[in-house]
Amino acid sequence: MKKVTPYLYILPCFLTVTVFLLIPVLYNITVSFTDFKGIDLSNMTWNGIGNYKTLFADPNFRTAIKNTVIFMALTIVFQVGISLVMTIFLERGLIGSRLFEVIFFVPSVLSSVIIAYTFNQIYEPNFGFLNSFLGAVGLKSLQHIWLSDMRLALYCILAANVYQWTGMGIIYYRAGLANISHDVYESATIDGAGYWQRFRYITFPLLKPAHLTMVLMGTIGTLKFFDLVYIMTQGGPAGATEFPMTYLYKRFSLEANNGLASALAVVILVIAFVISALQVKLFNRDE
Amino acid sequence: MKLLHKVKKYKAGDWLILLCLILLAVIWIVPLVNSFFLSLKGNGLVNYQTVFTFQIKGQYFLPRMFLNSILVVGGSLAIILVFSSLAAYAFSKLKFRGRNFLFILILSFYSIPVISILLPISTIERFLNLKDTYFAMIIPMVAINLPLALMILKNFFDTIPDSFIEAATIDGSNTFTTFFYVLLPMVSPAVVNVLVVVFMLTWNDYTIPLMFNSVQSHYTLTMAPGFFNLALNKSDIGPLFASIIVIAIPTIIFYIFMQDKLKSGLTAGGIKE
Repeated sequence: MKKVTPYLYILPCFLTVTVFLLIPVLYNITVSFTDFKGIDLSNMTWNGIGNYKTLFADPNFRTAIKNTVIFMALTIVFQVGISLVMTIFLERGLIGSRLFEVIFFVPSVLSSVIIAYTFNQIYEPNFGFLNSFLGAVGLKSLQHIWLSDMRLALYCILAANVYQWTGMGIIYYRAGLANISHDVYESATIDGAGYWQRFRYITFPLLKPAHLTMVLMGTIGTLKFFDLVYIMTQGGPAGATEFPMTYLYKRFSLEANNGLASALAVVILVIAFVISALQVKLFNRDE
Repeated sequence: MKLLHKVKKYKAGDWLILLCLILLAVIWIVPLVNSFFLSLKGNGLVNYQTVFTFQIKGQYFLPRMFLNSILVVGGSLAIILVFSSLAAYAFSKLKFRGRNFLFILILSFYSIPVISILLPISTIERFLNLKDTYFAMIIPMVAINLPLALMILKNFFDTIPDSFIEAATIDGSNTFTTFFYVLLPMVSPAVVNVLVVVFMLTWNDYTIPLMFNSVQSHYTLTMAPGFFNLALNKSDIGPLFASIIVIAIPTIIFYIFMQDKLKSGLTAGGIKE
């Protein structure tokens, strides 16, 4: 009886994860090799890597991957950059810092629905805040149709995403800064290091755990990205803001092309796995 | 909250920093203030009245959705807490074969997007006759958040010295009694952290109610703006934004009261969306 006890403790957790996560993943792997369409399970025939061929040949898929890479890189750069600056500024303890921190952080406790509709209206071409503001300060030439502009839509959504999550980075960077002992700074100052040098050679490198957390969240988060795009552009205009998850949802709900949808799911899963494994490895190497 | 050291003497650079902070704060507050003003468009505060008294098929819309959110989130949280604390205890304090492997296995499911497992889970739910119940949403919410909760709790269990367990065992306590009466009270801060963080994730979730629910009367709060968007004229954005402000208020209040718990929970887990 003693030997079985631990397994009983992990059983509820394990069972849930197996039935509702593992089996679906196995389902995806299996179905990705068939031409399963619709709901009738008896309607499947083996397809080999046909779906994968279709997938990689599809320009929409390629756009989705391209968008993911751009979005991932820029999200991480902006979120790390801005939240690090915010954290350092807040650390000075100037007046109003508590209020500033709340203002920066609140967007991350709001549902994506709220952020999406908020920015939809900011980007609204006729009465939205952005164009109105540009007109009012005499920058009429900078007015655009934002979310309907194929070149700009992706970056508009990027701005909304950065807006939503940058504040959260403050927590991680503040914790990271607190872990750097002042002695290091003191000896550096004694050795004649200026502010920028202290930052570049001490602060920034020693924040590595915080950096890695932000990068991990940014990469996995972008692979899963769906809510904002779906409400703001649905992957339009003309696929300019297509993401893997919007692509998957369309294949599944509009075309009932389950085989293709599953193939995409498998590809994304593999990518996520590789990225996570790489980052965990990088993280552990320094410990 | 822990103290921000108050700077008494402002150096030259400090004024510049303050200016930058004010600038950033203005940029950050504009979108939400804009939404607030949009919610007053047309009819002013009457928009909020419209939102609250809106009815579909004779049933009050918003309060019902609020109730649904509470049921779905509450149910998910209860299950997550029970399952993950039991498992975290085992993974941390009990010795058994495959302990490390199974732990990493469960954790690795963190990166699965919900949409990619929509069809299989729906099929399983239909098979179990749970499709038209609240469990249609509770199941994916639990599954998606278990790895995270497990990780946070196990890390916390790890920080408790084994000497407590040894002392309890010497006093005649068995595995479960040790768990329930000794360790659980000790990890209650971490349990609260998990609760707060997972609450935020599940309460704000949009994808799961959108995709897993097919019962009109079960939709949660995050679906509300979408409905107002469809139900009203395209030019009638007043009520739409009133609904947005209305669903934002609870989470903001929650944040203001739970700030510390939220922050320590997030750093323990390392999550985003």
